[in-house]
Amino acid sequence: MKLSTLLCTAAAVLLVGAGLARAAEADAGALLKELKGEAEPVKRSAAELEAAYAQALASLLPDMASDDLKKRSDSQGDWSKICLRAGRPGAEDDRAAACKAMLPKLGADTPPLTRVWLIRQLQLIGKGESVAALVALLDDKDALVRESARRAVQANPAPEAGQALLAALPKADSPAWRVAIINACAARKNAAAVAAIAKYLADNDESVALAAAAGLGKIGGAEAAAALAAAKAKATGKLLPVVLDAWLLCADQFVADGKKDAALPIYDALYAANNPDRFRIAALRGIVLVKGEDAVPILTEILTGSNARLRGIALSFMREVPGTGAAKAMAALLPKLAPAAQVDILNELGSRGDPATKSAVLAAAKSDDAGVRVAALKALGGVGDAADIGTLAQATAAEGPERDAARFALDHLRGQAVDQAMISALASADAKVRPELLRSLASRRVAAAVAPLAKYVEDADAATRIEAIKGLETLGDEKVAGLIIRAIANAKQDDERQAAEKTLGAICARAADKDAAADTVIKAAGSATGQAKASLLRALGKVGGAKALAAIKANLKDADAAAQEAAFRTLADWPDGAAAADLLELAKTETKAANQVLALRGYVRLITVGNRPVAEKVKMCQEALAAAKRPDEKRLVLGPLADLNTLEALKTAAPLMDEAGVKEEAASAAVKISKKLGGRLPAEVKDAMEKALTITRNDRVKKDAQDVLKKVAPAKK
Amino acid sequence: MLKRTAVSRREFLKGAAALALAGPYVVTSAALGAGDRPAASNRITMAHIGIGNQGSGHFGGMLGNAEAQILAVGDVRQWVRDKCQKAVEDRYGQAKASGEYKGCAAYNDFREIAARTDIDATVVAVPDHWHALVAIELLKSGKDVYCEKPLALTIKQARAMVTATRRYGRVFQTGSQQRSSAEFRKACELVRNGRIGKVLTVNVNVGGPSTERYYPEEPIPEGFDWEFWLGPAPWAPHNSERCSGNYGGGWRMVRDYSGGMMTDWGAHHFDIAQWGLGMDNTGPVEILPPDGKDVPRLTYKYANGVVMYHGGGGNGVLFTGEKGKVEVNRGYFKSYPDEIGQEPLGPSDIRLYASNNHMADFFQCMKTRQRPICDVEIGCRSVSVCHLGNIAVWINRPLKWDPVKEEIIGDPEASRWLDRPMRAPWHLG
Repeated sequence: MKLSTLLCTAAAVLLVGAGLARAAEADAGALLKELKGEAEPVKRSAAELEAAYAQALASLLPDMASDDLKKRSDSQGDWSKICLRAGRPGAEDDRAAACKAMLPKLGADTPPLTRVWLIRQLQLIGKGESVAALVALLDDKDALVRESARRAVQANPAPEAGQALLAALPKADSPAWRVAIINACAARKNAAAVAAIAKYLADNDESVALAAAAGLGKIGGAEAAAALAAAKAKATGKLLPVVLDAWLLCADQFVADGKKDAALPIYDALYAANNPDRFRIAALRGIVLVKGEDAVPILTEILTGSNARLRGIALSFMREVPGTGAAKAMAALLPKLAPAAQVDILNELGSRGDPATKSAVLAAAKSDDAGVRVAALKALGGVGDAADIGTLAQATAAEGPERDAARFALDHLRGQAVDQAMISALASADAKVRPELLRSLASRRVAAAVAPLAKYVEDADAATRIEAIKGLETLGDEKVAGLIIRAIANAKQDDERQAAEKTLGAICARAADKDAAADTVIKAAGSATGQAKASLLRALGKVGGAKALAAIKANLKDADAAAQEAAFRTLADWPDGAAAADLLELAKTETKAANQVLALRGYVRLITVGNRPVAEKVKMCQEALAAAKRPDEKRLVLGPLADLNTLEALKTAAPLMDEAGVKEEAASAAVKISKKLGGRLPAEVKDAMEKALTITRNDRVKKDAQDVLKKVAPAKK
Repeated sequence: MLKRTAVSRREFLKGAAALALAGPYVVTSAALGAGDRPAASNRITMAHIGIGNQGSGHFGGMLGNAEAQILAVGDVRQWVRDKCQKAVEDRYGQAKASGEYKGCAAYNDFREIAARTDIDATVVAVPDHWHALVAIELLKSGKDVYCEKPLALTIKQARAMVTATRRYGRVFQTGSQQRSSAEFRKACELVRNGRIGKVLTVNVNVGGPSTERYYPEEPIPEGFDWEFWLGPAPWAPHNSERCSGNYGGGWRMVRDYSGGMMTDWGAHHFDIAQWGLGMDNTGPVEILPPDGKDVPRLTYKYANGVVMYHGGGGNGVLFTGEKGKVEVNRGYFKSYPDEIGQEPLGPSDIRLYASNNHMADFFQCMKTRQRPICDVEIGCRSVSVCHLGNIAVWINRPLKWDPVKEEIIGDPEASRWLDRPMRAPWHLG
């Protein structure tokens, strides 16, 4: 054969080989995509699935221990995705196939890094099929592989995994490994392991004995509890507290399993014994959980005893005891306790709201200690009833916390009878009590109180009138609008008129027929003057709508200074965009500086109100900038402008970098806008950022500008 | 709006505390006085374990806390614990006539701090994979605990921390300190009082889950107990980035040690979402990872119909209701319309537990033995939301969650993610 022929043949072979390799690569790529769930699945039999997973793993395996971290990350990551997907519900064949693909690769022929990674996947999806292979690794020479395998067996749900760990326990070749196996048995709560683990309670190696004690506590049950009870008599040093803790865990597990009779002797022993407080505390809680109200005498004894540390804990446990018995016991304790402790008990009684404790709470309300009185008054809100309305209303005559507590209680007394009793009490109440009742009726949201509240809007007593007016802010409707308008007109003091204005605004804002509500207020404003008219105009602002807006605009030139100012401010605070055009016009033409600024502020505020298209917002910013006369005003516009993300926004902000008084803010706005553009419009952004960098002194803005520049003009490599 | 709102037991108790004049009467150590700096014997005795980025802030604050006396510091980096020990001794020495103070011990092993009987409480700010082990050991030894968020590396570890707190009658503050900020409280109170109407959706803007990370091996710095740093996590070679406390990177982004930004920031913002929704004792019932089609972003569904999204708009946390929206982040509050945020709460409206200083609240609760604003149960429920999101994303399939039994329904392999076996000899106590 000629050399040329040979060369041609060799080239052809190479080409075919390369083609086949590429085809195989493409096949593997397609398979990986499919198994990761990124491509349509192919229907396969169980055997075909096993072959597919094996093929996928084979394609990834070489890079799993690569020194090239990117390759390692990619291959491990791909296999992890495949395994996690294989573990999905209803795909048992996939899961088993993925595991079976890994099992032959766990041996010493595979690099340790890969073995550990595969074991970690088995920890997440392995079941019975993986146990034997993993258990074999418990004797592996590589410590990392061995420990990884232990964790995977621990997490494996198959019963044979537990049996294998138990079998491995006596064979452990070091105390550290024995501890590891005990931990795994305990984490599985393997009751069959109790006897084997209990043997190690007396192990010469302290770490093993400690692990055995802790493990028995985790497994729990009668056998474990008995082993720990026996060990406790002999344990000393570090072992004793671990044994006691474990015994306690057994008791807690008994309670969780409904075996209170088995738990109680353990708790009693731990509580009664001369143990450190921490065990006594835990045991005491157990006793409370088991005995419920029957534990109250023990808690009472502690609460009146001398152990300050236990007293605090006992009270926290007392809170966990439900029932009238506990509440009564706490109430009975009150006279025996120091004031601060009484406060705590009273708080608890108030939150329980057991009427059986009312008399004790009432007695405490007469305490010499101010803190106790406050707590008792507040607790009365929980335990009291309609009969206590008078007491509480009178108590509001006090100052500070006592008044606040009495009000809180009035507002929280329970039952509809309370509402009716409060309404009935209005007629006979004196001038101090009546406002409190009115306030509380509103606070309690008593719908039936609208008529009584309305009745007192024109009362001779100012405090009564004001509370009635305030109450209607919460409860009133348009039917009382006329009454409130009269209250505005007839107000004898500023706070009364302000309250009425607020109430009118709230009523109108809630009105079903806004136009009718506006008509009522507009009509009243037409005949009002001075502060009353100003109040009515401001209330119109809460009504909103075209009619109200027209009325406000009509009053912008009112001869009455108060009315004119109110109209201006109301327009500036208008709740929606309907006022935008008028505000802009005023911002351009108003000659009074204060009004011009008000109008501009109002216009700028409206830029962000509602859901305007970005282009419209930019246009509004441009209009506002054109109307702005001073740097302060321009800075105001740059705020909303900076939140926009268009070239037009950038073009609006960028020239301001040349304007004295706003350079820094304009640079900041340009950077913010450019950040939002996210790499778009590189030329315009680049110019703006370079300019911003020459202007700003703010490090944060500088950094942001540099970051943006990197995006739009990356450095050449 | 004539509906009256009820006051929960917890809110009643806290409201009562706010009104009370009397001081605390229950103490953890010999006495905890009020007024000026108490005598040394009457201060709350503290230890700090983990004094890196977050821990150093707590440590600095505690040094200046007149009520506290730091008796011990713990860190697996010798240079850190030595520096902190010196800082304590210098600070307290200034108050001594001799100018010297030698009362602060430094430990590599937190168990030695737990074994001390003269320490009332401990601040735990170790990496997430250590939270449960350290905190439970401290609780067992009778100490109150302030533990940094996210509460734990797994849902089961978090539940074990709750159980231990209750079992040993301790006070446990989770370090989700946004609960002690007025803007978040205000937002949640408005939502809880129906000011935005029936809640429809919540958007929670935090970063994503942690991932497997691959780093080259680097020499272990002298004085750094690398084995102890790894502790219960799978063994890995030392690398400075792997164990860096750098916010937004470092160990927070490594799956063996943390849940990533989902748990790190999620323990703040999902926590606020849970607070606003009134879900402090429960959680979502369905978690859907993004699928690129019908579910554009990680989505949670609650039993009451509220849908919560990971991201998707708003600044921080955005509650959207039938009548308006409330948006809140640190130093930022906005309502839509504005009036929702302007109208003050009425006397009968729900008032949430009010704290303006997370550590001060912890101290107060150590004295009263009340549960603090971010009790361990709350920390557990909030971090569970974060972890469930992570699990759904990691395994890339929807989950059904039973928030009462705290079990994933119908997906045994997903359930394995509820806990992680620990490297021996460590085990969950």
